[in-house]
This record gives sequence, C-alpha cells and structure tokens, in this order.
Amino acid sequence: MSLLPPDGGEPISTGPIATGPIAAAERPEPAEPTPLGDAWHMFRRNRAALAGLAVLLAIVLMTAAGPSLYPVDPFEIVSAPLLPPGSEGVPLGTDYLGRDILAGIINGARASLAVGASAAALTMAIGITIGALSGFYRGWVDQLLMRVTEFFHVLPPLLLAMALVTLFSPSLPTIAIAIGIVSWTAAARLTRAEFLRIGTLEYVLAARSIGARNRRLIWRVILPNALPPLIVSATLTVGVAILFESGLSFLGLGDPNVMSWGLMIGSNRTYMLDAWWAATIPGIAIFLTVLSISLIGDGLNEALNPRLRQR
Amino acid sequence: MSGPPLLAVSGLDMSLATRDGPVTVLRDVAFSLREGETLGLVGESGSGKTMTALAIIGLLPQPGGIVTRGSIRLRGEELVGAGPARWRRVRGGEIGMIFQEPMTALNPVFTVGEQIAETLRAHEGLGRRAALARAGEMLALVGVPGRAGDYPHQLSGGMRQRAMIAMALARHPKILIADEPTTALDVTVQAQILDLLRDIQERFGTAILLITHDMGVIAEMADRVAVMYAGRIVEDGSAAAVLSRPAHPYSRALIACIPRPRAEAGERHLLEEIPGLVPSLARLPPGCAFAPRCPAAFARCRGAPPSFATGPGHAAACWLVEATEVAT
Repeated sequence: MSLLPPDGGEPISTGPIATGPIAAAERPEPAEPTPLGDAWHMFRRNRAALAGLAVLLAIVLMTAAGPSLYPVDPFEIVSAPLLPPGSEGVPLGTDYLGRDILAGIINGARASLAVGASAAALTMAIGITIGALSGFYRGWVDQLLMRVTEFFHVLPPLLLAMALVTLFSPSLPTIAIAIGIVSWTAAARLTRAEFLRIGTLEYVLAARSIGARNRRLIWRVILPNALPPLIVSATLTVGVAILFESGLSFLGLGDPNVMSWGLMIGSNRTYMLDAWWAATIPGIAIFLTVLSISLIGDGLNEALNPRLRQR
Repeated sequence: MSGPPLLAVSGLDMSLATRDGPVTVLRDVAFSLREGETLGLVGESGSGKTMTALAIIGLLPQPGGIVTRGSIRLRGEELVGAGPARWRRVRGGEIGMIFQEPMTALNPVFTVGEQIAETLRAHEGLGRRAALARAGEMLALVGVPGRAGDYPHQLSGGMRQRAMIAMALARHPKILIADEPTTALDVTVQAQILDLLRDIQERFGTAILLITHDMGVIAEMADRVAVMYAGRIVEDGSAAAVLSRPAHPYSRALIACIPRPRAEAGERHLLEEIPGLVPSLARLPPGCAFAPRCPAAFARCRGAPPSFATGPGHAAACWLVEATEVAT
C-alpha cells in the first residue's frame, strides 16, 4: 500500500532555521508546544482532513449510541420486502427479506469499525515487529525476515484470507486475524526502511554511546522517530481492512450472526435493478467511512511529514 | 603525572568490510591517557580519528568493523574481546562520548531532560522523578539551566552541544571522548564549549580525548598530542613540543594551516595548504603514507619508518628524524 501523496497545496518550508544561532546565552524561541501539538496545528489547517475527522466521529457516535436510539433488530423482519426509503416506519426502506435497512446500517457499523480497527492494529503490530527487527539487526536477520515478507507479499491476499476464514470459523476475530495476516507486509517494509534510515543517524550512535541496550534503541529511540509514516499507514490500513471485511462478507464469508455492511450488499445485490437502495445504501456507508479515514490519513501525512512541516 | 594510565591503547589494528574486502583503517595505533589529562588526536578527515574513538567505546560500524590486533586497556583491564554487557558498562559509565553534530546527536522526539533521565533510570536505577531532577541538575551544571523540558529543536547549537555534554557526563565517566566537539559551531560558541570542557575537567578530573582537525583547538586545550595520518599515529608528544618543534613534515604542514591574522593592515596572507589528498586506505603507497605529499620525501621513504624519539616523550615516525639524529 502506498501513502497518499499530499495534495501539494501546503506551502513548503522556506528555509532552515536550524543552523547555529550565535550565542548559547540567547533563547532561540519561547517554549512551544510538543511535536504532537505541532502536528495538530498542521492538521487543523487541512479542511478535507477535518471534514473526514468529523464524518468518522459521526459514524463512531452512531455506532456507539445508535442501537439505543433506534432499537430495531437488524435481523428482524419488520415490514414488506424492498420498501423504498421514506416508507412508513422504515426511513431507509427494507431489504429483500423485509428487514430494516437503517437498523442494518447502524448495527453493521460495529462490525466494520471493529474489524477495521483490530485488523489494522494487528497488521501494524506484525509489520512493525518484523520491519523493526529486520532494519535494526540487518545482516542475516534482515535477509531471513525479508524473504518471509516477500513470501507473504506474493500470496494473493483475498484468496489467502478466504482460505483462512474458511478453515477456521467465520467470526469477527477470525476475519480480523485473517486480514492482519495477509496485509502486514507493506507495514514491515515501511518500518524496515525507516529503521535503516534512522539507524545510521547520530543520535542512535549517541544513545549507544551512553550504554543503551538494543531493546531500548529499537522501541524508545528509533521507533518513536519512525512513527509519522507508520501512523499514516495505520490509518489507511483501517480503511483497507474495512473494505476487506466488506468483501469477505459480500462473498458470504463474514460472520453470519453479525450484521455487516458487506453482508447487506452481498445479500441484496440480486435485487439491484428492482430496489437499488438495498445494496447502495450500505455501499455509501462503506464509501463514506473509508473516504473519511483516507482524508484523515492524508491530513496526518501532511501534518507529520517532516519535509512538509514548517518549523 | 604518575600512576598507571587510565586508558592504554597499544598496537591497535582495525579493519572495515568494504565491497572489495576488508580494508585496514587503523595500523599500530598506540597512546595512553592519564587521569585529568587532555590528549589531542589530530588529523585530516579519513585519518582514522573517529574510528579510534569508536573502537575505544566498542561501537565500530557493524557489520564489518573489527579490531584485528592490539589491546585497549581501561585501568589495566583488557576491553578487546569483552562481551556486550561489559561494553554497556563502559559506555556512559566509564567512558562518555560527545559528537560533532549537536544538531543530529540528540533524539528529536524527546525533551533533553528525558533523554538524560533515561540513561540514569536504565543504569542507576533511579525513579522517573529523581532521574529527571538529576537531569535538570546536569543541564544546569553545563550552563543550560531550566531547559530540561525543551525539545532539541528549541535549543541553539551551542546549547545542544552543552546538553550532549550533560548526557555524556550524567553518570560521571572518568573519560570523555570529544569527537570534533566544536567543528559545527560558531567561533564564539566554540570558545564557550572549550571553556566548559576545561571547567568540567578541573571539577571532576575527567580525562578528555579530544579529536579535532584544528591545531588551534589543540594549542588551547591539549596537554599531549597524537597526530594521525592514514590510520597511523605519525607523531606524538607534549602539546608544547609538538606545536613548537614538530618533527614530522605532516605535523609541520598541519600547524602551517592554522590561519594567523596579520597585524599589519593591507597585508594579504595566503593560507597554507597541504598539496594532494589523504590516500585511499585501500591503496596505501608502500612505505610512508605521507611521502607522496611530502615536500621533503627522499629515497628512504619507500620503506615504512619506525617511530624515532626526538626528545623526552616526543616521537615521530619519519626517516628525517633519524637523519637528524644521525647528523647531530
């Protein structure tokens, strides 16, 4: 997976201020906020990213509060099948069995977000561990881990995930794990590249020179400096994982006991010509979620990328 | 000064792996450092000064950097071949090191206080609060009071180098290796940093191995000097002797390179330079490595010169020295 390029609208830093001021006694600038505060400042100026954040927060809010505000069982047949949106009692219409689509959207969000977030967490955990060890130790460790990474990289992800889900039970945890297993290679390569770059910097040597152990060098010295691109990558991975989960559900490999957007699209697709809304509304939900996450990732990229950051 | 040397390096050979096989980058390096003393290690880029320093704290570039011969003794204890746990105790605890680029030698994502505190927590078992307090004290000691909560980018170059010194000294090592500590700094800040190093040395009796290419810095700071060329020490002796009576043509040339402002107005003074470049270590000329650039080279320079004493505690590896010894 590649990082989205920044949209180029941000002014590039005009010149380095980093080279030596004149006297040690001088205070270069008043104490300013932490790097994180800096990043938030940059992020806030990106309207698209802010909009994405607002949409995602709305979706998260809906997932959390929706079921109690609109307590309709998404599996319960409430009305005649394929009623259009705006019908009596069913604001978004009903599906081919007469189930409430709004209830499906509200309850399906949980599966999408839960699988998206946990699959992304697993993807990053595997990828960062493999990439960090590879880029830190180099030599034969690197050779070995990179061959393993390449092996996973060339496997067709959807087929492998389908095989894994079929082998074990199709439950949400299984699906999240399957997505994690097929998609960590990009994170591993990104982490490795960052570790190779940062590992040669002087502050790593300086940390060694005061007796730092490898464990501390990896997790406390190099990783924090490698985080910006990894955070962006993690964000985008959430979007990819949501799409992946929808894909699996669409193919009937989702958890049959949990309502999900992919399942709704998959089961209603045959009625597309008679009742477009039944498959399209969950499609729009997926689209909005992934789009908002991508916009956030884009904004984070800009806010955290040192080449675009203004100092 | 008497007593056993704090640090004794002898017969040190070191090689680095390159695409064309191992290249010897240090040959027969030998020197000693006594308590409270400053030894200057001088030479051009690529002469092996930094590699010598890295060998002493066991941080040769990996993979490929190895000590192939010789010994490094810390208070008489052999460090060549020591295990990783022993080396970690050496680093920071017994030998501290500061680097040339204060801009890049501090971790940008942590405050300077946290960085100093981290080493205290890891090695001295201090709690978070106590370690941060000690870090603040160390920063105040090196002249950066009240800035422990600042990130490196909020400090000026001189302040960063001071913070670096505080970090290297946090666990009170007896030896401080300063690798071009002032090269990246403005002239006025340079003087302040050198003053700070002298001050620290007086207060704690820290021995300093000062690596520089600047004979001016040596004149100001060093008790003794070792001049390195192409991975070999070509001359060593007291700073006074080497600066006033350099025996090796290379030392003479380095001293001639110090810019001297002339008092008489209008008189232009051409800076001296040494013709030619430091030879590639993979293709060293046979005999004296400096011979191809040496104005005084003669037939004997095709054979490697041994070290000849030119005075008490002053020696140079040059056939000319032997010639004068014979002549007088």
